[in-house]
Amino acid sequence: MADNIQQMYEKARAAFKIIEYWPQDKVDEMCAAVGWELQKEETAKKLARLAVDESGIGVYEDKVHKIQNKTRGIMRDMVGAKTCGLIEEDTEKGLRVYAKPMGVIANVVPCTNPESTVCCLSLSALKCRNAMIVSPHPRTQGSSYLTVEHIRKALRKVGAPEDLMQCIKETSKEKTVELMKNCDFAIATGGAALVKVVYAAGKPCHTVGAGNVVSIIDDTVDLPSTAAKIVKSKTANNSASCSSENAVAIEEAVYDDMIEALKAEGGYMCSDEEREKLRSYMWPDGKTLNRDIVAKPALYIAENAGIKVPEGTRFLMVIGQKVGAEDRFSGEKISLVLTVWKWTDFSEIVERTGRILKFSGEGHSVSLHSTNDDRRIELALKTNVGRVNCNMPHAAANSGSWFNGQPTTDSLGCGSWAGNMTTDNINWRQFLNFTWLSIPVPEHIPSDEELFGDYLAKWGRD
Amino acid sequence: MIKAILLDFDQTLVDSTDGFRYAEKQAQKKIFENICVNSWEDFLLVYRPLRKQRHAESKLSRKALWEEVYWHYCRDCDLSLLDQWEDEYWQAVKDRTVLFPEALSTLRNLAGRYRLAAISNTQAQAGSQKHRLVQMPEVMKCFETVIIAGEEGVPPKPDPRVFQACLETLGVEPSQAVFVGDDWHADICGATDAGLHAIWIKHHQLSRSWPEPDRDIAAPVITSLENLLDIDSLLS
Repeated sequence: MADNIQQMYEKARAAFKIIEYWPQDKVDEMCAAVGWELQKEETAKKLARLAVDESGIGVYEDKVHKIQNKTRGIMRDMVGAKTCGLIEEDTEKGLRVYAKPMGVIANVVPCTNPESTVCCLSLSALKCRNAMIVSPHPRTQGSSYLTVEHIRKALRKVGAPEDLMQCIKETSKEKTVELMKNCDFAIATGGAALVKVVYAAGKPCHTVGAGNVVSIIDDTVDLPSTAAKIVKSKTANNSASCSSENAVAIEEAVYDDMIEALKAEGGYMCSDEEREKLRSYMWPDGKTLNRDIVAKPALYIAENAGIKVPEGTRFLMVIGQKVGAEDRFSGEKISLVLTVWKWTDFSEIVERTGRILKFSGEGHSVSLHSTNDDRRIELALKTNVGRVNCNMPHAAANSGSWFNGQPTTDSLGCGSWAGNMTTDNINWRQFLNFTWLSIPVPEHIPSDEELFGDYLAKWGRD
Repeated sequence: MIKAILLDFDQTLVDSTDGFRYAEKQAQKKIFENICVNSWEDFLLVYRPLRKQRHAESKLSRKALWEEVYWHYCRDCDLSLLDQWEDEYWQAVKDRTVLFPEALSTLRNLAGRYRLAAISNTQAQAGSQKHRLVQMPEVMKCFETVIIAGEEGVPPKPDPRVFQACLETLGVEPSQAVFVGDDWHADICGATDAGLHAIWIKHHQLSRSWPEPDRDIAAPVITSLENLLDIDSLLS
């Protein structure tokens, strides 16, 4: 029988045992081989073409770019990182920390990024001497499978066991659950529905959360260039990314000018009547997002919603009315539809953004276009998100880019706010075990003064 | 010499084709509306292959199939809602299941001459006590034993073990037993592999297509249960 999960696990385990104690230089060579293969233009083009054809999601050119950039970004983050053997020593405490692999990792991949998620997580897992079995999404299993085939080719080239990377060929929910139950660790990139399935499998795991990025714009920035950044990010891959802007919140003083700047970049502002048409098309039952609009061109959405828009329209804008289930436009849309909010008081929009995220996208990320660092800090301190990106095209910045320091990933942890274990950009650091080697040090028992000094001085010993 | 006759249930003793068609259509509509996609045709292009594939793997649970459909669309599904829909599904099948007119009289006639048993695949309907056969007391009286296969550790047909288990209960050798059923793969191939004689019933009241046999099995074909009254000449 094809895709015998138990057999796949045993093969992965056998491959893992071969490299379990490989030294750093050999591991790094293996990762370089895989990274080089994946970032080749011909590989990226082949994978992007298949991913777009299979899923009907995204834009071919953007995907080519993404596969290459993500792969090279992951390599940038890993170069020089120590993941094998002794990685840390504290002679004073008598501690040495040894990095160990986790074993065989199940990787549940979404249909929005069936190839680049594999690129990112395979390199991260291999860097830590793990094996990985990919469970693709049923709509894009060919793309994930082909990506793994390229990785296996690269592994063979440098004499590494190819079974370090495997992919289920004909996937299903049942097989995915069985895989997660069999493996030693799971990573699943998908929304709330997947998070529940992953935790039900009962294995240690990393999951991610849904996005609903609000991009706040104040009167300190240059509006045309800000609009250009936002639209570049919004239209990339037709908004397939969970890091795409879902809303802009514009300070009243520059509201009209910013709307004009967004229109100049291809935005179309819907009238109240058009907004209603769009709403009933996007949420046919009033609450569930129509899957057929995900990452589709703006003209396709407009036509199907019955809205006439000018040629060259790149995205649709609607005015935000209410926060929460009463106005679905306040939530995540995964499409070329941008909700527009207006504000006058910065603290108020920070509070409103918090309510928007509470409804949809808490833990993920927000964006701010401002030169005022106090505002950046206020937003970071008050908002329940893993990432605040300032003055950047958010989708390009959020999961690592050449112009910021966010670690490269395709899997964004959203913390306990979204039921995740971490708020990190998931990378190689999440795929290690550590053994702490301890030897005796001269005994030191701390005094009351050392432990409670300030408290005792202020409150006494009662 | 034939001592025992074992019979399938759906499309052998009863006509439930309309029931399954109706229940299936209703379920598809509910899921389509709940998943929220544009095109009914595109939805069926996803739903039907999944159902076919799972049926080929003898995975017959409706609920599990529907969960796969939700998985395909990256949708969270309300499992209690699926439970409710599954109950409604089986109620719809039950309401439209009709005993073939000659079934009861034929069974009563055969019961005086042969040991009779029934083996029906559960189709993953939760709880064997809910199986439509169990809810037909007059029919049940004709059988010495009834096996609902596919749950509680009993493998579904065509697994030979389910036929063997039934024969052990009756104390009859496979060569002394005949199995009557409509499903080429589950009934005819399954019974033959377990060493029983097989009779393929293609009931004349059913408007459906029949698969081309993919194995060389000499199974007589009948079009009415009454044909079983002279079983010796059928097998001769």
